[in-house]
Amino acid sequence: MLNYVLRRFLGILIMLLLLSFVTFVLSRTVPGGPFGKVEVPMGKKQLELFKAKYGLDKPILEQYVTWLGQAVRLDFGVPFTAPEMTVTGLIFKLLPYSALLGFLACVFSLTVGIILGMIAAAHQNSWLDNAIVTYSIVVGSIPAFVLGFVVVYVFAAKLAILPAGGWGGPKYLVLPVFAYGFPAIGGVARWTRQCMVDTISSDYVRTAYAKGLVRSQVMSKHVLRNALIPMVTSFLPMFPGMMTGSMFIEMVFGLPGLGKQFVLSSTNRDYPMVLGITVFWALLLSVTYFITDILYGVIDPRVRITQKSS
Amino acid sequence: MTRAKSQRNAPETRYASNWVAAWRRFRRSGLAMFGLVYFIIILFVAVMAPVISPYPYDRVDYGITLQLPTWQHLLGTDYLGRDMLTRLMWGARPMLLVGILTGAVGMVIGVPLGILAGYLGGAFDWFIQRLVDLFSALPWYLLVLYLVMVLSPSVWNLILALSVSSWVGSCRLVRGLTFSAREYDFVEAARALGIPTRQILARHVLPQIAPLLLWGFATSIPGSVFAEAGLSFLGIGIRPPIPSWGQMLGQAGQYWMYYWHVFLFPSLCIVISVLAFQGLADGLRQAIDVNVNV
Amino acid sequence: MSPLLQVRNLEVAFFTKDGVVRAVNGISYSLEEGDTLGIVGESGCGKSVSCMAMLRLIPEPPGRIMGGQVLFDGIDLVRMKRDDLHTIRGGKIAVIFQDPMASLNPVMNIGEQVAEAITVNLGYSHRQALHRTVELLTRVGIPQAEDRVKDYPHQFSGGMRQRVMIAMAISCQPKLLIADEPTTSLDVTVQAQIVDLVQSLQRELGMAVIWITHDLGVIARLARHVNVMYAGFIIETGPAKDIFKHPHHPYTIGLLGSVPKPDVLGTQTLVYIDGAPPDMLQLAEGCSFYPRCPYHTEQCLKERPDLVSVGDNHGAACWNVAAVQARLAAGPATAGAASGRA
Repeated sequence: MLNYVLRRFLGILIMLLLLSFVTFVLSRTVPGGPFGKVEVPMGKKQLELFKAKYGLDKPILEQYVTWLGQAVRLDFGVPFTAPEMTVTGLIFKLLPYSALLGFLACVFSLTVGIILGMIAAAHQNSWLDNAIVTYSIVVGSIPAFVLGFVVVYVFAAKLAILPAGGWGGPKYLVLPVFAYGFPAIGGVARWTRQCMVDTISSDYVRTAYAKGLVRSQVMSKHVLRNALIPMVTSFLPMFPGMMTGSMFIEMVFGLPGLGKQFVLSSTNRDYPMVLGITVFWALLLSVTYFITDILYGVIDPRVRITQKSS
Repeated sequence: MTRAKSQRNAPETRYASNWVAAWRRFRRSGLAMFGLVYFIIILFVAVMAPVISPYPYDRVDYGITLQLPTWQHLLGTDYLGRDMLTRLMWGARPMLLVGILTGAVGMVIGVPLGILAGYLGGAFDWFIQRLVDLFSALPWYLLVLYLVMVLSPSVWNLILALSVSSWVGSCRLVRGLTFSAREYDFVEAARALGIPTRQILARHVLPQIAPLLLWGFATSIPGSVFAEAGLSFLGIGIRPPIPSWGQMLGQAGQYWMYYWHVFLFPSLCIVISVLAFQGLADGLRQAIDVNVNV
Repeated sequence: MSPLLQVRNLEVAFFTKDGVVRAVNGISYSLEEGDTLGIVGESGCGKSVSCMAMLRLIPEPPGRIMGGQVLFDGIDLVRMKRDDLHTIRGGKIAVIFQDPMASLNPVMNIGEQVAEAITVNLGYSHRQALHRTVELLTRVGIPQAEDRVKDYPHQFSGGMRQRVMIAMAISCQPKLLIADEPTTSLDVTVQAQIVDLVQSLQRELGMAVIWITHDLGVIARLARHVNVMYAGFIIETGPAKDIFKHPHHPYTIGLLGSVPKPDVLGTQTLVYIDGAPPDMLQLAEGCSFYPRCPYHTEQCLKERPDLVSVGDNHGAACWNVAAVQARLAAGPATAGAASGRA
């Protein structure tokens, strides 16, 4: 088990290194650069001074090593567009909005989706099942930002019961969470249904019935645990996935989150900020994958034991 | 004697009935048929947009800005007085272009890598696997935004950027399929006969996995349509004045709260397209599943 | 005394998207306590489905029992409520399945899985059940059973997994054991051990056994009575000895011919039945074996033959029993099947 954990950990570390290197090199070598878009052209001397300040005049590998040395201490430098702050500081200032939005949207879609999926699986091939499956497909086809428009139109513009956007308290999260979480219900419901149906029709469930177990015993002791394995492994990464993927919804609702910042930073070619956010997100995702892998080992003895013996 | 004859006949009849059966399975799904019909219509609209659209897509008329639907402008006009219907018709072009080309480019990269990785195994496979891990650990929008930022926004850069993450899916699919195809008796037999690897892959492995590739391709389309709409909405996808549905939504900006038509029609186009392509992919999966099992 | 199990006109169908598959078409047989019945046939002939349907272990829907009776100890299982069947399953009728790997829960250790059957059916405490499990596992030939109860299915070999399944099946001393091709996925040497194990357990516990297989060798070894099934019908039934010595239905004749036998030259002559198994979506009006039968007549196409008595307790469903026997006597080697070199 320890071996397994270590190997996963090492893999994530290597991946993060590779990713940061590629992003770093790309950002420094591509024509244009951060000064391509500056409206007032700087003088040559001014530009050189600026480059020296940010260390842009050194060889690329040296720049990367310097950056990496600072990055491991969570120092990603200073954003071009907000020199009064640090990248890390800005990330942690904006993170709570995105994290809360993503987390709540995830909880919302998982709750509704899992319930719908379970109902569909329990009534497999009935009209209810068909209705839920069709509903899931339709719901899953709505981009969150499109739904954002609709809910703002209905609840903010027409009914005027909820704020249309910006930030000023918990009720500003209601519409974004709904618009963000609702389309995700489709995928959750379908996957839950699939996992349940696959498990219910498996041979060992038939064995459980053949043993003389009643339906409730079969469900609790054999179906749920087995269906949970693929569900946990796909639903857990949804949390960081939705926390980092909220840029569209943040743009629609004008929420001051990390996603909106990422879009603004990338259109402004604010490299330190973009790099910082990229690595931060990758770290967040990797940690979740890591936890998922470990959890997978805990709930599935097949993984645990093969890994132990190898 | 009779045995030999039936053996010779069997594959042909099987083959024909496979296609018939696949079509029957496909047709059974209403959503799949809807997807197919929609695809044909939208393809026609996209190709014929210059001919069938009632106005030029970039004709600005400040006298008629933000008009609700009228007989002159069936779906109304936008904030510059441009005809919505015309722009929606032209908007089908980037949608299809990005949707189809992204999948295609992704396959051009992913399929050979996947086949080689799956067939050769060893160090090459290991390397490809790490690459796939790297790309699949990252959300697509991160890569895409990053690349579009570096490369500056345009249809082609968008396709390129999306392909950088889309190859991963087809590579993984193909690798897995090749891996199992390698164990087929006739592939092993070909190998034992000393047929060169290239030929085994092209003649024996590829035909086996081709139907699933078609399905893999179809499943990638809704995601690309999503991506194009989203990025154009953020203003980093299709550049004006060429219209795209997502971009139209982005431009609807501050007006849509009062003029419902500027956001409703592009939204519907996006939702219906994603739904149709999802249905198409789903239908293909149902049609193909059986063929693979036989 | 009435027999332990009486199946009367059992009909099972599957309502699939491609049409209705009539898997079992009114089969009848009975089984005495402690007796052994073999059910033989090609895959898809309904031999497994007919047995699984008795315990309602087929997926419903798409499967459905269309009619008939299954009297077990005088109780009609078909008429029983689905939710009451657990009183029969495991405790009175136990099953061992074809694929022991897939049939064991991968995330539960095998001790728990066997013990579960005991606690549920016999009301043992968890401790008692585990203790009994170790005894049972030892009995079915699993070495160091007290250590291995904590292991998971994937840590066992195929043969050992099947022994676990057998331990689970006999744990509540059932009156009837249904063995659904339990040796199909195993190595030949292991197959023999499993057959021996079941036979010795049968003697020990006095249970009746229904052994479903397409392996005639296994049937010859352990069954007293044989049902041969084709396209959801029992097309020949009789004492094992009679069937092997004097098969009457052309299909049985072909089936017996297709068992590989070394010939004089030391090479093997493989005799096979021409054609493919029937399309179960389209049930023939006449005899289902008609297209593959070398003896078929006009009548076979139009009317389905019923079982007719051809000997003591021996029946065959064929219009041309006499003609077949006559041909058989004339040229035994090739009768009933085409032959070739394998």
